[in-house]
Amino acid sequence: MSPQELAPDTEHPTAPRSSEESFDWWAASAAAREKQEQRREQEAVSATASGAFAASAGAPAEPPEDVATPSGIAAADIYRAVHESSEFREIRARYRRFVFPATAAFLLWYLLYVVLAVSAPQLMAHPIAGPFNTAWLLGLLQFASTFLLTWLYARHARAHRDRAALGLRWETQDRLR
Amino acid sequence: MAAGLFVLVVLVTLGITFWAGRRSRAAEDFYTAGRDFSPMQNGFAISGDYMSAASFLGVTGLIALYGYDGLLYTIGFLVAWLLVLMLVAELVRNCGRYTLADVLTLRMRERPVRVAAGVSGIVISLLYLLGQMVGAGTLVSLLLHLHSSAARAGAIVGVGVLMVVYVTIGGMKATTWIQIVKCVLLMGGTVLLTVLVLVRFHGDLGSLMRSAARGSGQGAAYDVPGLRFGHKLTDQLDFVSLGLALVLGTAGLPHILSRFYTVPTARAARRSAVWAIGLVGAFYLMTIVLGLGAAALIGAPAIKAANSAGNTAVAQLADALGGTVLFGVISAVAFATILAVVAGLTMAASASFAHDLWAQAFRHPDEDPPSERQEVVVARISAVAIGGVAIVLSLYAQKLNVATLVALAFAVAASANLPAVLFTLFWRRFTTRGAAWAIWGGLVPALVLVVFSPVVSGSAAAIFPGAHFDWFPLQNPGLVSVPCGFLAGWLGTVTSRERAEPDAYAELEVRALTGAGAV
Repeated sequence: MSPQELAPDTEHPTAPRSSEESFDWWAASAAAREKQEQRREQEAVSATASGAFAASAGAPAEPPEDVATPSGIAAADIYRAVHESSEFREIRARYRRFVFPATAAFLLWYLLYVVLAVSAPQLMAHPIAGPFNTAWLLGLLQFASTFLLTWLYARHARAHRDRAALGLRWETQDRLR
Repeated sequence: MAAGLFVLVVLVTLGITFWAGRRSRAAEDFYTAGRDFSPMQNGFAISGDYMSAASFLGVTGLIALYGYDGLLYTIGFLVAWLLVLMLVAELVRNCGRYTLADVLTLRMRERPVRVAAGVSGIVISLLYLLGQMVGAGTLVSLLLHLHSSAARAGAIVGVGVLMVVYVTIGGMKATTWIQIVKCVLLMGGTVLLTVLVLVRFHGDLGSLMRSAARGSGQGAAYDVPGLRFGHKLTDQLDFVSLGLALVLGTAGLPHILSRFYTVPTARAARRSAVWAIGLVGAFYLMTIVLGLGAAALIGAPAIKAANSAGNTAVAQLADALGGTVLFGVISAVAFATILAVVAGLTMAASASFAHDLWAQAFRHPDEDPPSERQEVVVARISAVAIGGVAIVLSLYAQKLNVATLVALAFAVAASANLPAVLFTLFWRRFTTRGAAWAIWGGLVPALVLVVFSPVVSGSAAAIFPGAHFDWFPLQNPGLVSVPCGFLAGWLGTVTSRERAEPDAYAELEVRALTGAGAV
């Protein structure tokens, strides 16, 4: 899946499409979006044809009438099966591979800044341009890194996680029903 | 002028409340406004909840008086959002229903965890509420030029009554719309003032910084850290402690977490966090300009003469830039800010009481849970009770510094709630005892250390200036109490006899990351 690819807009089936779209900050231009939508439709067709999820639990899909009344045990079995499926492991790995290093990095960078602010007065007072010194530069860099990481995370989640997570969500809920 | 606009703010917010309260009977409506808000609306509401009077007036005043040290606050407040965005927002939205405890009890036994989470939710909200209401009393009297202690007490009681009305009648829907309106007003007022300051200095930031340093009377010390926090070792540790509390606390604030339940999906929760980061970041960048502008155009002596903590710097700046009209508008914006934030806090505290304590924890395991309608009735009654408690406590806490109180709420949230949430979401072996211990093990040390800190005794600004039981040297307990919370959670887990239920963790992980079964 290419990073430019957008997740489906129909995340919430009952939500009107227009409201979902109008708030997408990072939305690609209209032309690119149209092209992606065409590709998405083709993919959706091929996915249904090949039964993308059938392999997940290694078991054939049960007929709906057998699980019409969900019991606690059945639900736990389904969640465990999904938890062990390769699709879920992939989603979790993608999430953790981004989030854990990113959290460690920004916390360290923030703590470094805080410790420098109290313990390195000469460094902080070093002039850069007029009254603008290292202290102000580092402070503004904290703002910049926060905005940058927010953008990177949102992009990563949209490109690498949303679509797979949504598919797995409906799949899981179908089995729970 | 200012008084008329204050009345207008009250009328508009009450109008929103009665409009929103017309048909909100179900628990879903009362706690989460039907989960019907868009990411942008919720982003504005989150920012409205977050940018309190302590930020608008307090931080701007700190920047005006102490220069760089004021900026340090804004950075902590902003960077904290990365934790919310990446580790908390989506997962909590997927797993919970109304409160933080809903997430924890997905894999823990109900009662011990509900008691702990409910109590910590109420304590955090009350501490935060106290800060806002004490600030409200000071500000209303300053902005309306009513300087008697009776006027200040009247302002506290008035704000308290209004927030109870908003929550009991309008529930989450009214609270959210009030936040949105307030956020738009606040951003509008801030942009206007920022533009006026920049125009005054012909867009030359260097000349603004130089004039500010001159106006502050501090010279070069204005542009480096240390003016407010000092250079002694305890000062430095205190500052690191504050920084830790600010950056870790936001992800444990109940009134912020419950905001993510007002959108339909986890993806919408993420987008609302992104909106919030954009708005909060832009806002804090502008407060820097406002603080520098106040120092440059008004000067530190005049700011300190009006209010020693600098809380009136923004209003004075507005007066200098736009006369009485702008002063009235900005004062009304500050007033709307206070009203909106206290409403959000009361909402969170009443949800903690009704949903966690009354409906689950105070109940025998064999007893049937109450109906949702009963729960909402109790939530409304508890909002009245919490409002009453907050009013009484605020009347006695008027001496306390607003920024200190808010920083304490952040420290308690970081120590009690954050370890429990992170362990629940990411640690497979975490147990019920671990969760309860994590919350109590963060909450109790944080509160105890505050009691024995210079905030309560031993210094001129303390509650009991005459007494001396201040053996804990730091104002903010975060540096000690946050590790305590994590340590207690770990200790409780390794010492518990029961093993963590692997199926429960599997369900939590699947639900958290895919949204399966989310309401």
